[in-house]
Amino acid sequence: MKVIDIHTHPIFFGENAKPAETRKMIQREKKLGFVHVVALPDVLRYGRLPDEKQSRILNDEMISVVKIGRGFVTGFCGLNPKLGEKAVRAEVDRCVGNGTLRGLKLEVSCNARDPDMRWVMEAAEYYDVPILQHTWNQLYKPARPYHSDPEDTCVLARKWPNVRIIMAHLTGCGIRGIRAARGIDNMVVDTSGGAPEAGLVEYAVKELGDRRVVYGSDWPIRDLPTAVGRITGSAISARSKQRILHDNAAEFLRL
Amino acid sequence: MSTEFYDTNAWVGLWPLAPLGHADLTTLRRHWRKHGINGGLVSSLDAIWLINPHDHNARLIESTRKVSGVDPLPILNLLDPAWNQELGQLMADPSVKAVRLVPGYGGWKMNNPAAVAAAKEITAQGRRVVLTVRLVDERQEHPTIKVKPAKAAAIARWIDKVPGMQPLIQGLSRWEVEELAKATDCFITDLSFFEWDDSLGVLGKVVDLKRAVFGSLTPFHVTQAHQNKITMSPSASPARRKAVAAGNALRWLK
Repeated sequence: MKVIDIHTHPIFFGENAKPAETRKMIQREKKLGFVHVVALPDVLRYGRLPDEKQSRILNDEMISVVKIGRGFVTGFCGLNPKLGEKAVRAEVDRCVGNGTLRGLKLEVSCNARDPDMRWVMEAAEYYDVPILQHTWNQLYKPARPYHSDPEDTCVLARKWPNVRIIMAHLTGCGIRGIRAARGIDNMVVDTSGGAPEAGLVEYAVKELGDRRVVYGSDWPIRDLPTAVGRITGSAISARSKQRILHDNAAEFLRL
Repeated sequence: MSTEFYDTNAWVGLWPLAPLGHADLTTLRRHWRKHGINGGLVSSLDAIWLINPHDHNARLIESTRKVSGVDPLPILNLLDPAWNQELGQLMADPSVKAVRLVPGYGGWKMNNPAAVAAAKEITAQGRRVVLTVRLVDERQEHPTIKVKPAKAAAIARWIDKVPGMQPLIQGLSRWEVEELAKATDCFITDLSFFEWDDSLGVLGKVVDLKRAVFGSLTPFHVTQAHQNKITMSPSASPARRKAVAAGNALRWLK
């Protein structure tokens, strides 16, 4: 079965930053049947508010990974929206403008409803690239001002219908997040992150349809065969599994 | 050739806080068969909520006699002042190979003197102790029952007080296993919450993989996801993977 992984961190808190390690990672993924991966920058290495210089370091690493990957890797550009319009736009122009990186990654610099998200969304719309927004249920965390709940990411997606959005972490979004995501055609939910909790993939397919769910692992925090197993081991049709593991991401990323 | 599995971490019954569960052993057995699991240790989800879980334990033991391959894993709640009576009855039944302790849901802590007394008695009877520290990721837990997993240091102190015991500790994260392994090697563990790139390979750097067993955490987790963790490990040898899937647990239970 062919697989596209829409959520990996090839360099994680500075580890695996050498080109040989990137090549080894790609070999391993190919051996497992992966045909393409999305590489996300090491967004928390400098904390939740990286400055301009730090952002450039992280995104330069992604540019290197993409070059090593030779078509196997789509790299996303990490952004801190709180740096303001000028800095955000300059970094997007530098990394995405020439087509090297082909998506934007947002972590926990600010909530998805924050007015400063505007610069990011305008850049995504201009270059017509997708955004991956880290999202997690904040039931027990007082971090809502800068951490996005599923409802926050859904508000963002509804406000910008021309921008493709990936709401990350199905386990963290849970049933509540899945229900919040109903009827948003420009948004998909990725299956990355957390333990392989039973029933969530089935619920997402039932509520959103099998076209709005995409496979992601959150590698290396998560075990690749375990992350795939939560799709192949779910009680959905073979066709739905193929769509989640491959077809939806291929279409969403326009590969 | 497909790998055979023995499941050390399965539950029968329905979970009231999420639409999860296998209503009876027949449906659990069917689920296992679909995944090539030949047998395993099973506890009752109903028993987890009771201070005195005797009726549910008795019903579980009785029902396992009618279904092959299912070994009952009754729960002992040490909050119950009469826990030793329940334990006595469990020990009188030869089909009980092990007893499960679930401090978080049972409302008791590892420093409770009964935790040592019960473990000593179970071990003296030639049976095994299973300590379940986590069933649900705390970040997703229902707010009415915020369960704090037992800490590795407290588990190590408990193990140290029960000479000759080698408990199965279930539900530890990677970091918790690493911390526990620094303090003691008198335990075995499952991988239900242990995850990193090549989980089995990472675990093998912390503990000898002879001390690792398969646990599906059915019905909470996707069974195949945990099976893949073992069968598709890029670093463990086929013999080692086979042992973790079933052999280690069966040897431990003998």
